Amino acid sequence: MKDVLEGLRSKDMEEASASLYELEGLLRRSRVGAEAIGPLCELLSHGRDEERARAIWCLGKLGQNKIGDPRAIPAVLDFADDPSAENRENSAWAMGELAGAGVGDDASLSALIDMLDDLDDHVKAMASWSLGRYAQKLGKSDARCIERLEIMKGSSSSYLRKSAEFALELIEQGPSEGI
Amino acid sequence: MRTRCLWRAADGRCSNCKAKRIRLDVLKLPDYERCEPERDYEECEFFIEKPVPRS
Repeated sequence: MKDVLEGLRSKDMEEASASLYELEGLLRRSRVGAEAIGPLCELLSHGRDEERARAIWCLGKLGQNKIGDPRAIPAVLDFADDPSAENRENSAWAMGELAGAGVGDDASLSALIDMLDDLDDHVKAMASWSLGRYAQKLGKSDARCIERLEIMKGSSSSYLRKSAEFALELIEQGPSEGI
Repeated sequence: MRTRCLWRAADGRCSNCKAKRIRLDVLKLPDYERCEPERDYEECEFFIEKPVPRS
């Protein structure tokens, strides 16, 4: 594990990429903890686009494994307006996963609301899902998002419609007990 | 015609973390982890054709 984390810090991007591959495998098996967050954030600051995109996925996966850290939020937020739709979708997904680990702030909530206006349906739907998670897991919501979600509920795409319904249902329910 | 998805594992499970969240939470599919090509491929928003290896 130590080698993997040190590899993420390497300035040699081939070495960092190989370590990232190892880390992705460990994350899929839930074998990594909060010790990976620092090296991942460092990689986000100096990596190539490819490694940075994969590092965002890793931060989301850590959140899914219930490992959250406030340092992950600004890192993930950096991708909220990335030119790549897949990176924006991953950013929204990672925010929703991190919310499940108790991490999320007003800036990320605001970014998710802005993503409801994204041109890509995958980004919009994932932002809706994350906004539902923010309401459920963090008790965070905003009138601006309700208005946009109501509009999305009338979409001709069932995918968008159901995503909006999911978010609105959780916003109405409010935070879950014991989370 | 969608035939082979990049995310479908050999045991039939979906290996796309985002897709699984949507399948479970948004679409409320009871067997959200499993994917049946004939039933699911045409409708799945996360379907990506699996690349054919170069010979």
